[in-house]
Amino acid sequence: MSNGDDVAALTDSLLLERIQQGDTDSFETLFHRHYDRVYGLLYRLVGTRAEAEDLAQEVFVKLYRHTSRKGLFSLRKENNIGAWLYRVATNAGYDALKTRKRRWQRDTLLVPDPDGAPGAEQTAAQKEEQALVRSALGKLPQRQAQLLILRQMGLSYAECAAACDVAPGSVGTLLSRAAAAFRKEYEKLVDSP
Amino acid sequence: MTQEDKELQETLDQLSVLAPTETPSKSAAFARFQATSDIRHPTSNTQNGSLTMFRKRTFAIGLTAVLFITVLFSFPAVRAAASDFLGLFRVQKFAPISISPEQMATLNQLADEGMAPGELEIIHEPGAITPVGSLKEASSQTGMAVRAITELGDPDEIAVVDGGDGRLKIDLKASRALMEAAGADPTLLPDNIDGANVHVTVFPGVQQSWGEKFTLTQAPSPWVEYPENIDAQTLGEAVLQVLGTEPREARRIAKNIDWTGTLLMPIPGEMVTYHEVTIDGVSGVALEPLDGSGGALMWQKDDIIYLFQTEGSTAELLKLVASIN
Repeated sequence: MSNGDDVAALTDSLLLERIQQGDTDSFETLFHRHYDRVYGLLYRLVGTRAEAEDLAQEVFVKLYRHTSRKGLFSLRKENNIGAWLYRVATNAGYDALKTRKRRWQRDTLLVPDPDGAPGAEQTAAQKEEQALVRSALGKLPQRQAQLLILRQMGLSYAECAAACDVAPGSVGTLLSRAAAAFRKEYEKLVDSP
Repeated sequence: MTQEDKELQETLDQLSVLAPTETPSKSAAFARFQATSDIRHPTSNTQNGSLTMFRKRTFAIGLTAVLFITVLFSFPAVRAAASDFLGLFRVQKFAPISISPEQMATLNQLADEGMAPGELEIIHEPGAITPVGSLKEASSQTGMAVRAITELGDPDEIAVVDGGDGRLKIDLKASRALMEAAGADPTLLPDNIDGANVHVTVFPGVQQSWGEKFTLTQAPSPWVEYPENIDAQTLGEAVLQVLGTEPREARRIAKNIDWTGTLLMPIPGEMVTYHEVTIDGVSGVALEPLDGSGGALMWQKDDIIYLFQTEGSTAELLKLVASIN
């Protein structure tokens, strides 16, 4: 541990300060602290373990590069690293779906898990439901989909607001609208022949 | 619980089907991260840490410059078609442009938020580094006559940095939104650039290192192919505004630049100083971080771009570069 104390107990902001002073232990702590949620968000977006893992790596490389630029986060008045990570991860997920020309997969088809586990043992019905949900989600504006996913992941309204760059007081309303839009798209898909 | 709350909860429950049923090992993920980044080299020494940051910064400057010429020359006056004749941009000289940290942070933030002037397709990802045993081998692999700093003797490490290429298809609406968000005048972009294509090719280069102190990187000038009929001056003015230059000053500078061969180099003015110097018989740029952590020289000669970096001073680099051959 750096400086002989327990970096795991430090806040993100303090870890950031230490990283900018060259403390790699602090970066590892940040990585461990946020990896599950970043991976979880990306998995929900792209639907495959391998791709979500690749994209999560890219997100943390970006974070590392940003932390190497001294003062960048403070210049932006951006000390909420979690919010920054979820924004970057969401964009990375959407970019991957667009640039890899996989919109058709997001919108219309089952997304296979090339690793086999854990998707291999899923039932056909589960896979069909996943495809329908992902397809309906894919038809929403990015911010609505992001809000729903983050809230489903268990983020608080304040965390959702920071990640989506909206006023905390508007999150409830925006979530309700997003849920209504999702249901509408989902029902359209279910009703379509 | 209101009806809305209930419906929201039902939707969230429905979305739970997308959740991963297991999460990869964080330790394995971090090990992979270490293997592909330079975090495995701790920067406990302040000077080395600063050097690392400076290197990243100067490499980033180079990459950003290439990005900006990509953006600049992707704005044609007419819609591109597959059969269009293409113009060709190659670097003849550098034009350092000071950019404030605030503007740089704004541009970085816009990039992180996914704002881009169009759809970028990376055809071949550049940047892979392959160590080689000799300068001769490096020359053979790159097709370039590799030059060395004889005063420094044989380099400790020689590597070939892979080239690559990519294509950008302009989206006018996105480009204007990006300009507006960056504080520039979006109306500078003509309506008829929508859908235009630009193709950027970065050629393989060679990197030589002498311990931790000196690094010389050389590579052929990148090519930027673009539709022939473009109003480069107006578009240059637009890019200067994106970099934070005042509109009147942007117009003045744009008029005085040869946009067919000038590589814009955005320099973070509060972190790095720069000045024009004569290097290797041509005009180049000396870059010095304000924290005194090192220096770099950048120049172009015979279609090859050179970047010579040190943890020492640019004065030292200038003496050494006299022995390049």
